[in-house]
Amino acid sequence: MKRTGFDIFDNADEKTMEQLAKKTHIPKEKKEDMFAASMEKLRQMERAGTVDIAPQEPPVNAQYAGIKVRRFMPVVSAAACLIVALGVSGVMLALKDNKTSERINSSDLVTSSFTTAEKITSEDDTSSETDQSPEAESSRPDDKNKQSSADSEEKSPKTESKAESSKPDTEPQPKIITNYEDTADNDTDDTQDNNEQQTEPENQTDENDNNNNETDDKKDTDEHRTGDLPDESVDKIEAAAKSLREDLRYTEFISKGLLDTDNSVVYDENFEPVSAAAENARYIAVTDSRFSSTAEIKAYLSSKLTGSALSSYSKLVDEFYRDHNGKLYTLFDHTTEVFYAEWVDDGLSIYNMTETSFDFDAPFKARGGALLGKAVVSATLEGGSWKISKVQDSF
Amino acid sequence: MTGKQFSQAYTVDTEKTCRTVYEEYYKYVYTVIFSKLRGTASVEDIEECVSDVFAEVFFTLSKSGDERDIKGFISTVAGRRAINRYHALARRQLREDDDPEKLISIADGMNVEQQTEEEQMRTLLMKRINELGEPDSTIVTQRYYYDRTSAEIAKELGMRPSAVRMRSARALKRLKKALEKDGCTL
Repeated sequence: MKRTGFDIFDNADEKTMEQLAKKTHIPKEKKEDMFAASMEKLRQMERAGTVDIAPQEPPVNAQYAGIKVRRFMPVVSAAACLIVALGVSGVMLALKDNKTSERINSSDLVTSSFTTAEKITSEDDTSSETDQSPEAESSRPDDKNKQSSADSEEKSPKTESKAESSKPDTEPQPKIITNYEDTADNDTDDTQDNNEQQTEPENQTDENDNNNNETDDKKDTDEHRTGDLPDESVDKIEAAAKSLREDLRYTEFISKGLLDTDNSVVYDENFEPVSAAAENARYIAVTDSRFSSTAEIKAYLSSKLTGSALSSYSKLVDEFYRDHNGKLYTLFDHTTEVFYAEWVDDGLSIYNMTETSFDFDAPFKARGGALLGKAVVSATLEGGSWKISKVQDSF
Repeated sequence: MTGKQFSQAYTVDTEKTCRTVYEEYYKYVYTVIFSKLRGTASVEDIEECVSDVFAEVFFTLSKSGDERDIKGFISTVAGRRAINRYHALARRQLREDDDPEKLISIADGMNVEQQTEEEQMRTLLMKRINELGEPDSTIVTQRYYYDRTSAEIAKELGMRPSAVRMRSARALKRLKKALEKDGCTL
């Protein structure tokens, strides 16, 4: 049997190019950007009177960049020398003014500079005292404490700098978490629609902190086991993860219309029997005795899922099932070829474990197909039961 | 449109004339360049190359008195620019020694027997993709040839990513089945 692949279209003939072009979709913004760039280049060509316009080879740019740097090099060097000279003479003058014959070492210089900085800070505090609100006043003792501790540790610049850096405690925290989330959303494009309705897990901060060093975290799974949680809890989490993976498999299965059905009678949009070959063949009856309505399926899902996982799988139930006259129907044409993730059992990789949440990797493949990707499944302890709160897949 | 017609229209309304040609050929030019630079160039490189092609086409045709259709010219410029870009990228990445055969094959093609076999296979694959019908054929092409994500395709086709995902997997399965009947595996 001959093998082929989509890369056979690379460098293809004219006819194939034309056919492929019909199936090419370019986002409108990109299309407009390319047109604008073309027009800009056209104007450059018209000015130059030739199609050979700006050089594109990087070495040429690098050459120009080099010239630019070299041109300013003498000025930069002179400025650096001047700063050093001024610094040295400043120190000499300071020594003269103090009329000290003591030998000054570098640590004394550092200490004195910190003391000066502290004085300025104190002055700032005093000058702004009248403007401060009661809340600000209430925070002042902390500053005083910091100052007193700083004074007591005058000869310890490192401690002092820590005290300095801890001052803006009342300022808003950097938006590291938000930035990370944005990045994560971009990376997992397919989960964007799911994320629209999701509520973030309670351990968001922990999760994001951990995700910032995802690789390290995975390596450190054992440390989590031995360090953060007692062995008993870890064992419970491992058992829960195994169980949840099975739940997820079954959830995929039922939420996408793969319950047992009676294929002998096919119904149209109005639930009138029609031929299976008819264009309007739409539904078949579900014969699985465990579920007789979409509400029952959703109730099952609620017992296993929560958060965004629940909302996204519930939407699938609405997509694949219909209730009619007390019976449950599913889409006729989806039941045989629907895509669902077949979770691959190659060991569980559990991480970000806490008493109330954890994540685990779940590699999956399309039914009967090659390995497609890996889902990161988040679990949350809710009402004493572990539930899947989020499924982010890489497909 | 011929080169002469373009030239005449260009003097009357440059922007509109260029826009007309662009609208008609941008997908084709993008496809030609993508097919030659796929796996070698970034998306940005490909887009820049597309704009280079159109700038050259507009500039050259504005001075043309050629009575022939412009499509052949556009095809030639696109192919040449793509190859030049490939060589430029290869030089930039110091890759000339890595795979010199590929450079030659892009410029000169393969041997006749191999080329004929590939053409047949290509035609067959395209035929089977077309038989999937829309939107599946577009989804499959976008997903597996252009390496677009489900979300990107969904946005373009006005569908939900989950629907695109499902359709692409189903369509791929159907495609595999159809090709198996032809004695091919995907």
